[in-house]
Amino acid sequence: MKRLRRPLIIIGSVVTSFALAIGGLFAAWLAGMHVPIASGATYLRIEKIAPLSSADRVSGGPTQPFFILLVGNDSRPGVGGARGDALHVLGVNPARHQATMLDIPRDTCWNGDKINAGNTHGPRQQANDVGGLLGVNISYVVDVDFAGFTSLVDGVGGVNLNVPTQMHDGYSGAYFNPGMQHMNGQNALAFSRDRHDFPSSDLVRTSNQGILILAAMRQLRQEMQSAGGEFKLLALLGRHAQLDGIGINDLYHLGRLAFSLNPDQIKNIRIPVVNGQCLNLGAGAAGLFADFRDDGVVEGQ
Amino acid sequence: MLLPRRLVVLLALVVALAACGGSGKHQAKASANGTPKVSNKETDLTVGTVTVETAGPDVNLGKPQQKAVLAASQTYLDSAVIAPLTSGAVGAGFAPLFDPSIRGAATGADNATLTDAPIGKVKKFNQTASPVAISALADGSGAFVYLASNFTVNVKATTADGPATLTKNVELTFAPAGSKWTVTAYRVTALRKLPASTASSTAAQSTGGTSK
Repeated sequence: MKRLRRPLIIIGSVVTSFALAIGGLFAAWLAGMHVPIASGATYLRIEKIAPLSSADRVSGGPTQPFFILLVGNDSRPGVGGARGDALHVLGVNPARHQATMLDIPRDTCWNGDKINAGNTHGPRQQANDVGGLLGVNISYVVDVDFAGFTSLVDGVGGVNLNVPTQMHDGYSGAYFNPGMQHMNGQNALAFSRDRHDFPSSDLVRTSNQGILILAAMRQLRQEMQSAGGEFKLLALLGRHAQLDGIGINDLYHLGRLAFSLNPDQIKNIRIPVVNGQCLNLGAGAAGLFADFRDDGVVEGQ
Repeated sequence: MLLPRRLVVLLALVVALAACGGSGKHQAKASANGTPKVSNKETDLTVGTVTVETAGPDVNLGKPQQKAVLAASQTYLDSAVIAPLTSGAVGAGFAPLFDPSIRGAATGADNATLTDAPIGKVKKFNQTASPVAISALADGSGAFVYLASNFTVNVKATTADGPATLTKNVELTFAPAGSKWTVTAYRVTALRKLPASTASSTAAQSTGGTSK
């Protein structure tokens, strides 16, 4: 019995030692996890996750309301002149963080001619004519031709657009069903050129161009959330658009400002005109322009 | 024969007690010190992807310009993240990084997001950072007009109130200012998981201002 007892004591001691060792390590681990050991208290772990904070700022942006003219001209192989067939003025109010876009039909009368003729003398003349019509000083112009437009759209990977009505036009090549579609540059160009599908011709086309611009802004706003994305877009604009009153440097600041605006809250208004060969301003135009002119934002629409 | 066996038992107990006292020793060391030394292994940022966009001819971003962006990003990390956790105060290199037109915002309204001063000095921490992605924009002549860095920092810290974690994504856009590049725009997000009492002091978070 004595012989058996001694080995048992030794084995028991060793086992106890290991148990204590493992227990000690476990206790240390628990202590590290801030779990009270044998305190009898209920442990409550409280962790507050502070809200995700963000800071987004850019230097050098304008602080006063400003107006930027977006021009799509019809210059393409075999067709010279570069008339401003798509004319859209974006008024931006940085302080209010709001904007309004006025769509100008290309056949709107100005100084005895169609207003789109101004672009044949360059983007600045077009800006002066449109600015004169609206009574605003247009500081910046971004002017693209057919090739530039398609390259821009393709460069950003196409645009998602909600086509409002059936389109079946052999002149422009617009064959679209209503509903959301992803368009490449060629399709987007066809969409923006189609006027033969509509009784009011260029008026609907002008509105559709506004829809396309806002759709592009909506998409770019989601995708251009980094400097890398912004640089890509600016490089595309630099290569494929004619800029007036603005360089790449300024465009970066304006782009940051523009993409901070919610396109869903940008009012898109086609100016009222009276149908005819050369479109005269319709009722309400003077009031609309005055509303637009004072701070870049139209209130009463 | 009995003595050696008792010695074996005794030794086993000593080993067990030593194991039990592992964490205690660590805590005792920390508490005995009074002002525990913050352990901080320096994080040296490295260049990751380099992307060049150009409105003109194809150009490459040279090593000196990459180094300039990396150095400025390192200064930001050291002064805005590491320094506050180490000493409780933002480093001296922070404010000069920014263009004067946004320096006021960076040191004012946006400071609580841009820097980790609100967390304050911690007992200990370690941090990791992603490689710095560099983007560059060249104008029609091929001259670089903007450079940007983008990186993410993860910090695990122990504050006086308990463990804390920080995840920060930093985008700094640089414009040339003479021979230097200064930060002309920034986008920074910070997610802080803090012990309750610490978090309450950082509840007021800043966001971008009117020049957004």
